[in-house]
Amino acid sequence: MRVRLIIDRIHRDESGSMLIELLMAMVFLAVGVGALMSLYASTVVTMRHASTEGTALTLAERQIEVYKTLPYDKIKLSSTTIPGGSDPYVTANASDSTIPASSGQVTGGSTSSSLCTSPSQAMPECATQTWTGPDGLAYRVDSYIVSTTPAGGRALKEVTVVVRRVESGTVTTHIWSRATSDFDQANPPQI
Amino acid sequence: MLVADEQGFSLILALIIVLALSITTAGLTELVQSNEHAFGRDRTEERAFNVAEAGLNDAVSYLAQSVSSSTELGTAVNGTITASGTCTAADPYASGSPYSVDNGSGTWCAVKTNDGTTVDTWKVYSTATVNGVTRNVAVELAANKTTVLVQPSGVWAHGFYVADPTYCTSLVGTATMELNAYIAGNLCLTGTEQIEDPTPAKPSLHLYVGGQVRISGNNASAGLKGPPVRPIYQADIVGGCLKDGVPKTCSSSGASHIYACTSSSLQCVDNGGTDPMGYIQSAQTLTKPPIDAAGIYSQGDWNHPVCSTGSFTFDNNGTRNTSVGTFHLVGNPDFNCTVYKDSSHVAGNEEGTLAWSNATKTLTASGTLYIDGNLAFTGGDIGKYVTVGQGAAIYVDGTVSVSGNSAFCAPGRSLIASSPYGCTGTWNTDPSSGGGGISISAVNAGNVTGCSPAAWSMSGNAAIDVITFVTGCFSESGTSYVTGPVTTDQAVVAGTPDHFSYPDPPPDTPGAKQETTASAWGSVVPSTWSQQTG
Repeated sequence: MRVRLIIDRIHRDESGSMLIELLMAMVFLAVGVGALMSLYASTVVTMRHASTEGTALTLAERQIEVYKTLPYDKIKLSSTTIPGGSDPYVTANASDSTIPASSGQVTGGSTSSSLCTSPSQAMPECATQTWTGPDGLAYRVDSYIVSTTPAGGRALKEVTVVVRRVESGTVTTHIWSRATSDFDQANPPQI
Repeated sequence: MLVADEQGFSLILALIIVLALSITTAGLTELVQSNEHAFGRDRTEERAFNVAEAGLNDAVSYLAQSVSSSTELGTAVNGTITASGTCTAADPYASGSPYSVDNGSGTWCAVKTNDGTTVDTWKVYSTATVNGVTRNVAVELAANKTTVLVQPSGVWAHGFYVADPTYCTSLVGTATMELNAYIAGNLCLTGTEQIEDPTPAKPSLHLYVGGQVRISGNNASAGLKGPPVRPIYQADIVGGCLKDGVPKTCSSSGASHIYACTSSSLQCVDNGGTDPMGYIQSAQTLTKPPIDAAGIYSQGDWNHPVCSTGSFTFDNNGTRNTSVGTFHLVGNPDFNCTVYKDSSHVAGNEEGTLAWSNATKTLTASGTLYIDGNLAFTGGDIGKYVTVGQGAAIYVDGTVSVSGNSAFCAPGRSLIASSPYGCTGTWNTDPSSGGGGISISAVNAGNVTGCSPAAWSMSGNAAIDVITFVTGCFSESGTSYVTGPVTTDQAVVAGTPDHFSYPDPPPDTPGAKQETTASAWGSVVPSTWSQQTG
């Protein structure tokens, strides 16, 4: 009888246990949700990155496709559209030799540089073009055209298109997409 | 009891919620990452595709520059043909430079799939790899063929052409030259040497001297001083005239001994325009055509002729080194030998044929022939020749020597078979009526310099009816002469009683008429462009 009285007293003495449980649960939730929030943030960054790359790839492909439709002698840049100074167009070659130097390119075009800002269509003679992508972000499409002659072959024109982001009016150095192809004098092939 | 059993329920519930959220988030993260990877692959495939297309352009560039339109059907360029008729590319490709664009590398190859009269078709394959992603593209290209006719070199319009501007071309003995002549250097006449118009009743001979005409003595002249005076049609002397070392005005014929037509010459009729008669001083540039001995030698399998009768040695060792030594074209035991372009001894692949019949003393020649030795006509070497088609071009790796009592007569000419040997009649130069000619080019591989001995030397009594091309000096003496046109670097000329013009020499003669076929590349055959991922 005495023992049973002691057990009943213990059972009745539950004061504070709920608080402890709740605190432990909140700690678990806080840790778990915190980690999840971090993952969500990372995912958002990744998705935005992919979106930007996708837009840049589209712009690069659109530009290179233009050259595939042009006669060989029309594949050239307008020299007035080639930037100078420390523009990424100029400095890219120093950090990545596969991107041509800004000098020594195939020029002879007459497109004014004013037509290379937010054009309504891809401009083949513009060394640089600024575009607003479908994602609402600003991009710059840089085109390089150099002459090259493969061993045993005749002269080709090698076109490299590089796409960068424009942030707060400044062209970033990071390259989001690029495309390169060669064009023979028979370009475009007659079908 | 139920209330007491709910202890720890909140904790378990929280754990379950966290677990569910974790699973959901992990799945979402995996989805995003998978999407990113897939997109990255798309991006790489686009780059690989661009590189592969660049390879197609490289292929067209190479084919247009380095592949002859006469390439045989089925030939693979930069690869080998597979059993299915496609080709596999070598890596790096045959031209020696690995194909690389935009940090990607690739190979291409092409195979000729149609050999038409006006259009050839090539199938071009290109394979490119970027970051482990491979793209294969292929297309059929049509090359439109056009034939370009290159007229014979102007040197053959002259009966006598001497290229060396530093040399004084001389006549020897009592020689009389009756040829249109282009002499880039000086012309030296002494004794009774004369240049005489072959048709004095209506002068036609043109004499061009890039340097000076130097005449010594009172009996040497260009044109006959008469009486009566027999002028040549035109004397174009750029460097002026010397008589016994003293400068003279060329048009003062009495002083210079240069007799050319004037308006008062009764027999002279100016044909007007660009070819005026008389004395002119107008520098011309007429370059001696190059001789491509190595190229001609590479055209045939000279070491393995196929002979239906007897034998004839064109080459002894497969190397162009005068290995045959001295050989004769006439007077041999009968032979009939054909040389093919390569080891394929089939009709249509012949490079040239040479045959000799002792019974008729007739040499039959066709095509192009390279003989890796020194040609000799010696006493008793007499015969005539006939040609098949447009005539025959014979290349002699070394020198040519002709000594007394030799005759080699062209179609239409008759052989004088008793001493003094020679040829009579008119050379029929028209292949359409059974005529034709043989050109003999002395390659002079041993680089014999000077005119004694000469790369082409003649002495004694001989008449050789051939079109002559000499690397080095052409030297005649005695009464030994060539009756066809002569193109040479230096010359010493003896008696020339008969001469025939041959302005259109046989194919493959240096400076002969050429038909070249050019290809305009780039027309895609519709519906032939294809690609597949690697």
